[in-house]
Amino acid sequence: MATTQYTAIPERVTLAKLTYGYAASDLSSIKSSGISSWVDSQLDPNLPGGDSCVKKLDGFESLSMTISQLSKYDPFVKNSYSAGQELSMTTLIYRLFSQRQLYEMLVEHFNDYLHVPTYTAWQSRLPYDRDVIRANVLGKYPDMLVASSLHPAMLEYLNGNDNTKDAPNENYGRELQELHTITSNAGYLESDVVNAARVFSGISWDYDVSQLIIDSDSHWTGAVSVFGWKNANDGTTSEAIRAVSESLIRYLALRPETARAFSTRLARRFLSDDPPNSVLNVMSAKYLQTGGDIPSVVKAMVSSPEFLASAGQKTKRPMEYVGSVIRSLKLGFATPIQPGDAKRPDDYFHDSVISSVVWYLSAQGQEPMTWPFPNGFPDTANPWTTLNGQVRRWNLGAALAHGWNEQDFHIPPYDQLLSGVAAEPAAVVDALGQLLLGTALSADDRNDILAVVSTVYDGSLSQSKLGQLAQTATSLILSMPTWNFR
Amino acid sequence: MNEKLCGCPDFEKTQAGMNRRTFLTGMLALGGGLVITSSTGLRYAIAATGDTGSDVIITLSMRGGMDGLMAVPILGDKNLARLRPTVSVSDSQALMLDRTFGLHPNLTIFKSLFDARELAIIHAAGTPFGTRSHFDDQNSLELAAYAKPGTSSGWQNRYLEATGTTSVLSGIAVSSETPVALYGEASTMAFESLDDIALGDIETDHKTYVDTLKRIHKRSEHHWSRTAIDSLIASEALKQVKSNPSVTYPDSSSANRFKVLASLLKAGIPIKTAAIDFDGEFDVHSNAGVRTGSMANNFADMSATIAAFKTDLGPLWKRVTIVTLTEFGRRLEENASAGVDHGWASVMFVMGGGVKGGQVVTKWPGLGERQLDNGDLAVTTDYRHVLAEVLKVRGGLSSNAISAVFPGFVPKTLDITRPLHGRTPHAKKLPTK
Repeated sequence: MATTQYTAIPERVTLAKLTYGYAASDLSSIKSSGISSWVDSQLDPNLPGGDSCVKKLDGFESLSMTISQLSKYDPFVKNSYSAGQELSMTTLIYRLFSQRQLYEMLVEHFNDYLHVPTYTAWQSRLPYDRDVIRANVLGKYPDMLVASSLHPAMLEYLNGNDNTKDAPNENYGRELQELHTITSNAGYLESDVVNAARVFSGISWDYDVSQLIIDSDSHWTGAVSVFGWKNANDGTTSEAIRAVSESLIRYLALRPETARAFSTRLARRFLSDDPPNSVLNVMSAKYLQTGGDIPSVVKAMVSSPEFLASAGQKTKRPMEYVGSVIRSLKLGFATPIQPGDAKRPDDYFHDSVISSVVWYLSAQGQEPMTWPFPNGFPDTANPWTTLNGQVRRWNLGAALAHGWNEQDFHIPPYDQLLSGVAAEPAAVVDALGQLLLGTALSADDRNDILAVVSTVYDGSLSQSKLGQLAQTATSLILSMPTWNFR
Repeated sequence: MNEKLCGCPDFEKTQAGMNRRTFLTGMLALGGGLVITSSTGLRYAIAATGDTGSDVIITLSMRGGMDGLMAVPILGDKNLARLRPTVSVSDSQALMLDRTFGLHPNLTIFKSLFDARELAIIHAAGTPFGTRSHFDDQNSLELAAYAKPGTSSGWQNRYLEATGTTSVLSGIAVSSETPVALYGEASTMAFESLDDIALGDIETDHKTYVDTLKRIHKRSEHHWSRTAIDSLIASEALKQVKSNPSVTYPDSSSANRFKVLASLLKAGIPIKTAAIDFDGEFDVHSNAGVRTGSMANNFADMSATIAAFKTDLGPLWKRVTIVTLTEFGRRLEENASAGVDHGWASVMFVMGGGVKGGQVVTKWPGLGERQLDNGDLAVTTDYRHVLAEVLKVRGGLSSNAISAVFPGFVPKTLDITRPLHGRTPHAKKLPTK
């Protein structure tokens, strides 16, 4: 059970849970628009300025390339690791700068749900994010699942490319049920796995011609049944084979077991590690009623009383920690965000500030989309509650609060953040507590922090002291347990 | 597009002059490096090395797929000579182990250890199912739970659990990341450099900073806060550990990792198991460089590193057992690029003061066309037999505990270890093979 010092101001709870961090201006904005219309706009594909950071992505040519083009893209051909790194960087630019914060959090969530590591299939992982995840995150989950089943990144990762009638590979057939739809709680059988593998046999991707190949000679024909779904599976045209596979996916995707699993995973992302049944019932019903419409289920979740009641019950993962420090302190970047240097494939990302942020995350074990198992990054507190993570967070928080890593970030704009606050320890500590935690510090915490901040105060009220006091106070507030919860 | 929409007006501002070196220095300074996973309720406890009674079990991983036939060639084998005209050393170059097997000429310390009966070699060893995929085989090797799909803990962590240790300092990866073998419930830590593991400073004196953080966390019963207190204690304790090598290590990252481990062991940190990755290029699809180049360099570094580590440890060498691991060996036949593709069986080295060395243990499968598995040396000894014996005899685990570490696996004794508490006969008095 999380202990929290959050006062459950609804707008703050909403921003803490549905963004990668927020500043005072974001809070004013959601207060004036109202939570519900803020959520609507976050999920509006036409949100004005929604992709306002696209300009930052201008130089990243890979974002718009086809698989065929990427296969020949010189920097990636020379160093295929660069492809995954470039996706990490563009993903972070979206997460840190996009106005559509909730959309980006959902993109992360579904990249975890239908996970393919970035180091798999470098030619196709960028398009997978764009054409499977981003293209469907404001649509229906069954459509996303169908798209993923035929995408070369998934075909490569879960061995669809190796799955033929003579040499079956059950990897995808199993994970489709275990992870992507009904889950093992549903009690499917080994025969369901075998039959699912048969359904997908013969579907593969040919990188030489950048084309999906549906080879009837490699496809297992004959009657199949999977978890109550039955099909004669006797067609031999590629259209027929594809139709059978899609039929199975849509069947599984719309099962009540999938609705439940989908809702549990979504609520675990945003509410708590063990979300209450009451909200799962509401979300599952909405899922089935709308044919798996993702925004509808998200809105049902956010408008539930359980959502606001779960304030502070999630432990921030490294991404949320790093994102919230950068966004809440309005950190300015000291070096350009820029794509890699194609002329230097061995040192492709030299001196880009975003590659530093990738490094922070990598050091804490959460470089985007690199989890080495098909189940996506863990989404409960314990795996992230490590001494490594804590020492790194304390040191990183102190460094960013002080502007010590000036090669990457400017010192926080304390004059702006604390506009009108007197340059005096108690005033600075109280104001930063309010700004960062949204509430008054407890008397004990306030005393402890104030005792340290007071040691750097020489009694002068000069406004230039404000930043010095604020650096110390901010370091300590960022090290508090509460800062690590959302 | 209006930049201001992003709320990051400073973004376009650029600063020249940042180079890779300053970037790295900055990162290291702020990142810290200590990983200590603490289980709920466990508290840091420190005991002198030796109190634990068992060996420190060290794994040395050759990620990328180390070829066993380059390290330990079979002598006088026509198939090996024929199929690897460029990717092999000649019999005359190899260091002789016995009449059947030789050692790569750069593995000189391995030869000395073998002769001193402190190195046992297990050949044609590997994972039970060779997928030839780095990812799959590496993961399955570290999880070592083939009979229990869905297991998310690694064998090395289950070993710690089986020992009943409550110290957050008992399992360590000298690495920037925790390897899969250390995933699990028991407390483990990972860091690559002694410089990285300390809590930094802010304006106040260090003790005040640490005490303040402790007080702030003591007010909460949250798992985060309890772990935080462990973090602070362990971080402070490890700060006392100084890098004090008694020898000059080779200038390589692998050697640096062993240097860190030696410092910790010499400082009495009660480590029960440690994981080190050898930093070398083993995935030699082209230009394997077995005579000069990649593999030759790997072996030279490996040899010099172990030699330095042994000397640095001094008498503690008697209480360590090092086991080498790799996810697979290489194809027997070299390819058109003077390299070798992914294969299956490789070789394992087991060394330390408690090893019954001086023997090559193998059920040799042969290199004939029909003896190969899809063109690769076949696995005839499951790597878990080696680990199980080491954990049982040198780690002091019971048979029941071994079943918990390697679920569903029935180990057989290879007789490569001496009893932990038995009399240690002088090596030279042992009968020869």
